[in-house]
Amino acid sequence: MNAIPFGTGGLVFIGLYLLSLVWIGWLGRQAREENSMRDHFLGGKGVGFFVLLLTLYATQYSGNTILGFSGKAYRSGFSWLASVHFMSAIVVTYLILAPKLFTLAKKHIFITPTDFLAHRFQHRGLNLLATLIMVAALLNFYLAQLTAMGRAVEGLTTLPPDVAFAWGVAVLAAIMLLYETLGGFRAVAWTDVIQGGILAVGFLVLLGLIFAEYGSLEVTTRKLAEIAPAKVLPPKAAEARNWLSYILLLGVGAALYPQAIQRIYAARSAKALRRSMAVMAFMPLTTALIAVLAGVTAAAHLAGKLDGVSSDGVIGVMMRQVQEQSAFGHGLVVLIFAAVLGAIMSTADSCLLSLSSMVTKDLYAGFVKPDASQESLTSLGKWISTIIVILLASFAIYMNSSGVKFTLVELLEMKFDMLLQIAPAFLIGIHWKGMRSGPVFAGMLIGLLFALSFFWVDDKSGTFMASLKTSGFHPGIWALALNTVIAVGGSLVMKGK
Amino acid sequence: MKPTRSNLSPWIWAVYAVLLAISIPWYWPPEVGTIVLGMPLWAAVSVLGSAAMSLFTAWLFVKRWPEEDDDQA
Repeated sequence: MNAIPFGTGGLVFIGLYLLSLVWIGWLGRQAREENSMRDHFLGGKGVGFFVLLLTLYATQYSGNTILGFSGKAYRSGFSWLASVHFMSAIVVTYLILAPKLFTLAKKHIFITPTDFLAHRFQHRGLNLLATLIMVAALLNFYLAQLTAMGRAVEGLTTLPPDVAFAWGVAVLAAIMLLYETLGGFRAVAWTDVIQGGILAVGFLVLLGLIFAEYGSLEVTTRKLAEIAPAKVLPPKAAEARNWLSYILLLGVGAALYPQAIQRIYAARSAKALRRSMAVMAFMPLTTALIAVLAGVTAAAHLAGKLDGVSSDGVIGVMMRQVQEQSAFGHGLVVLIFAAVLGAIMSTADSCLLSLSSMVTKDLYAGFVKPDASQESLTSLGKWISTIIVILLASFAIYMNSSGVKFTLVELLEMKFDMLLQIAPAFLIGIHWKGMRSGPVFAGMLIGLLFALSFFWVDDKSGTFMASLKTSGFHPGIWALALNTVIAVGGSLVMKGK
Repeated sequence: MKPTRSNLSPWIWAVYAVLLAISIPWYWPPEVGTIVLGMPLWAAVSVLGSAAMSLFTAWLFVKRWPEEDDDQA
């Protein structure tokens, strides 16, 4: 770690920040009210406005937002403003879901998203399928966060990128596992307060540093228009369709992240949830937009100067340049590095806790040992977290060193095509009494298989499937349309009999 | 008391559709154009459209959250 060119002060700051997370994990353990799954996975009675807002914020805005979005904007330019819209669309989806789901969760003491489905549809096949989809999507998401940890360190060190990546993943994943195992949801939500706070400040500082280092946005736009005009032009028709597709795919898909649904459950009151959501509506403008502006600035001023660092590392490269200029900039860069770590770790820890809750409660207690005690399930949940961290951290390091380099946005998209298939069960099922379990299950299964089948479709084969794949809409959207027709149509047919 | 469905009224979705139609830059000619707020005009309109959407969404959460709800699901 000595190779990080932060100097002693910077390293001490980062070290203290990481230690404070472990300390909060210990405090979370002290605050434990009982050794139960609800206490471990949702923090007992839940959290109020301030903690809820920051845990929603820190969980939703991840390594993808800072590193992946700036990387994508570096590659595509202003057209990645689509990200501001799909992050807004997530909060809009909560208008449909949150009020009723919150009421039901309090009344029936839900812990996992599948608890709602079990309550609403009483269909074991549906419970299993939905859980497997969510687990698969979250494993993918967690892998993306681990990859982001490696990338965050990679751009800021003088070590060979692969070595820095491996150290970043191993050390940060270990710290995260430690505080989460100690304090469960409380540790995750309380560390989110620190992580979310630093993240919010970090984004604003990032914006200031970019303008100070590279000049005004207008200078950047004019320069980019000269060297890469395609990155400044409005999107063509197919790209505009792609915007709409992203808005639907991520706006609905990310709202259905299990860790996001569990934060609705964890709100202490409807008032706290309502106010938190209202503030969350503005967050895309203070986060995704800044990440896009950072990526666009890098595209104008750093084109061809990344020296082997992947485009998702552009923020790191920019910060290194700022750091070399002045002692003041140096200190602020350390803050931004802490914000990046906070963004990644706060999303990853929530993701890990959700994964472990679903494997423990929905799969093990749901299908293997329904009579297991609360204590044994909570303990199992911690072991499951540990196993997931070891396996996926090793996989992330292996994937990186073997040369298989997914960009963060590719990883992001792959899981949404799957996750989107649980949308009808939640968004329609929660409002429409007439929705039946059989058609919902059939729609979800067929939608999932249809979405996955696009993987094997050759874009240039000239077939019907190839035309859908190249239409500008993601496969998950076509699959969702089919899924919804089956779920709603089937329910209407059954109702008529 | 009859449960409210006010946060899901059709006019709300019509407002979102209009804001989205303005924000998604499908109707611009293929040129950089004027620079506004440091961005090409089409990008600035898109960002302002997003800001309007944020305001509308926040207003809905604060003012139109259904206070009463039944357990029909």
